[in-house]
Amino acid sequence: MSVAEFIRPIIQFADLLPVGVCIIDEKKKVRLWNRMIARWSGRSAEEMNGQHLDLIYPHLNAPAYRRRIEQVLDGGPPTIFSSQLNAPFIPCPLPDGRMRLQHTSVIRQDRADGIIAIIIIEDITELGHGIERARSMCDQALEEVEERKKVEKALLFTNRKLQLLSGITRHDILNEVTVLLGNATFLDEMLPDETLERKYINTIIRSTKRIQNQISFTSDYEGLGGEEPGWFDIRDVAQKAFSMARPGNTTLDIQEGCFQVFADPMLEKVFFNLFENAVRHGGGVTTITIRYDTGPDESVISVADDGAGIPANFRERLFEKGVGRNTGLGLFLSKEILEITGISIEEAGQEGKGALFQIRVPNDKVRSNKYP
Amino acid sequence: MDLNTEELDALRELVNIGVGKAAGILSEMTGSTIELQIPVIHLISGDQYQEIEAVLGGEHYSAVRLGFEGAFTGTAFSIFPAKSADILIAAITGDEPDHSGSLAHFHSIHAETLMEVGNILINGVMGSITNILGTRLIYTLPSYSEEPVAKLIEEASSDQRENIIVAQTRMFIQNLNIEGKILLIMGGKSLDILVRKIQETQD
Amino acid sequence: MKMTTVLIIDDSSFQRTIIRKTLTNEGYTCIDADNGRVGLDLIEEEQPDIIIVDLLMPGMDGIEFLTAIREKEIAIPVIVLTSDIQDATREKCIQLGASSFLNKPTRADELIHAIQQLLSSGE
Repeated sequence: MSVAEFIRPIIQFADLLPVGVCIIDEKKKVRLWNRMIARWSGRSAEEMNGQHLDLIYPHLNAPAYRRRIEQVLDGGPPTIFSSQLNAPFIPCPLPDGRMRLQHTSVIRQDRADGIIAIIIIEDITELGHGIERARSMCDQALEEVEERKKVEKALLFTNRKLQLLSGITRHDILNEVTVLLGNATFLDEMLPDETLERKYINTIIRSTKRIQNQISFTSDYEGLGGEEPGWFDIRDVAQKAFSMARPGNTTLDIQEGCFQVFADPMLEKVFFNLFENAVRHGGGVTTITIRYDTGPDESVISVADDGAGIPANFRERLFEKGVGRNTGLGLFLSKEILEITGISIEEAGQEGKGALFQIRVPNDKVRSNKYP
Repeated sequence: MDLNTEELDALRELVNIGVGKAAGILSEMTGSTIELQIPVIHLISGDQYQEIEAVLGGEHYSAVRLGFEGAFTGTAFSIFPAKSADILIAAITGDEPDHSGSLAHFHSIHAETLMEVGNILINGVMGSITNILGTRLIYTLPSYSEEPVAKLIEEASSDQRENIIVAQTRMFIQNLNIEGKILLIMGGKSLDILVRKIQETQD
Repeated sequence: MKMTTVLIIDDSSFQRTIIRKTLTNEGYTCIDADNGRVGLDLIEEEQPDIIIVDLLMPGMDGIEFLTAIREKEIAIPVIVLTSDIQDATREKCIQLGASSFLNKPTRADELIHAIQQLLSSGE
């Protein structure tokens, strides 16, 4: 069957295909130019048939194309031109001016009177542009990560500087406060009892001691949010905090088993604070009880004592700054520590029946304590 | 069937010429000079076929498959181990290859790219064989897959995989070490014919 | 008349046989070597008129061979016959003194033409 006899019956079929089809002979003259490639290229079949393809598209004379097309025409296997390694085989602009991305196959056919090469061009523009968008998103994400890293570094640096500064300031203030207290105490001893001057000096001493406590207290909480949160076993943390709180005759009744929570490393201070409050201000606390309960969305750690409980009018403001005996900062900072990882705390006890603190942990911040 | 020293030498030279042609094309496409090494050839046949994994490893390869028939019949593969495929992808597209399969788009484009590189190699070798031996073959369209070698070979029909000619090639593109292998899988009769054609060129 | 002697240096005996066949059909005498070092020794012994050398060979490869004959100021014309079709390789060989650069597989007429050109130009 000759080339012409081969091509004639397939023209109509080729025009139905959703891919570009071009057939060239050994001299690279176009023998078939289907409807799709005509539409994409803007060149009609009438215009192209009989023309030398490499004269109409001179880039096909570049060695990268010429050698491979000639290899096919010389009897070689089909050859593939991918979109990533090659410019479009037949330039086909889109309405917006961008070029269609193409995957092109060139396949030899032997005919009685010669060899032809069938060139099939698939439009993979959508796939290619999808890739470009994905690449652009990747690049953007990487840029954002880099930016974030820079900001984190800057924050870390600033945090360290602030810590250093507050450390120095605290040290200096404490020195002055010590001098103040010392001198005020001497004066107190020198003054006769029941005098107005003694009364004023005692007020000064009490106030100065409060300042001293507050300054010391803030050094404890200097590290708030400075370290990465982690997983902590509740039982271990509570037991350690209890031993640090100088409980005297107060006992700790802690439920067997428990879980781990994802929290700021200052979690121990939260428990320490609750225990110290109970021991010092709880009004006759003999036992502190810890129980846990797991619900569908959150788990609750209850810390209860058998003391006098918290007056109702106090309860609402319990976690505000400056409220409470001593420094007035303990519960405020405890709440801040827990909130770093989305944990909340509230007081749900009854006056006269003891305090009840409920620490609510979202379940995604809870895991079994079987983890190493 | 065994191949003697001269026959192996001839095959090595045919592969060498084919790889040289392919390297020339890849060099123009990438804009980089490519350094070549002498290919290493051996034949796995008969009962050794069972030990294909011991010889070629069980890892996944990026493979371009080309069937051929005519004077002799068989299947040719151009295969790259995953590491070399990744190096190629990174060098050509600048992308990190996706092995998780979560980026289907990326994988299609990477497969398309690897298919062209494998196609260039395999065409170089088959073109070299058919030109020098003066034979004409009919080919299937190339196809791409990522599989262990044993699986690739299973695709050839059982009477056509009695012999596997393995050519180990190495190219350095942009100082990157790209390893590849060409496999020619043929039945006994086809290999006989190939050998006879080689002998005819020497007479 | 002395027959033109061609030294064929290629590690492939298959390739050497093909070249030898082509050249002996044209009346040339052929000697061969399977690497550059053996080729160098044969140059001294046989004084060939033309050298055809491959590039990719074990032991002394084609580039090293070209460098060596340049250093020894051997004036015999060299045709590089290689599977490496890269332009950079061609340029390198010409810079090293190769008189001609052909790609494998070369047609018989192409090879003969290259030899005749070199002989007639009296290089």
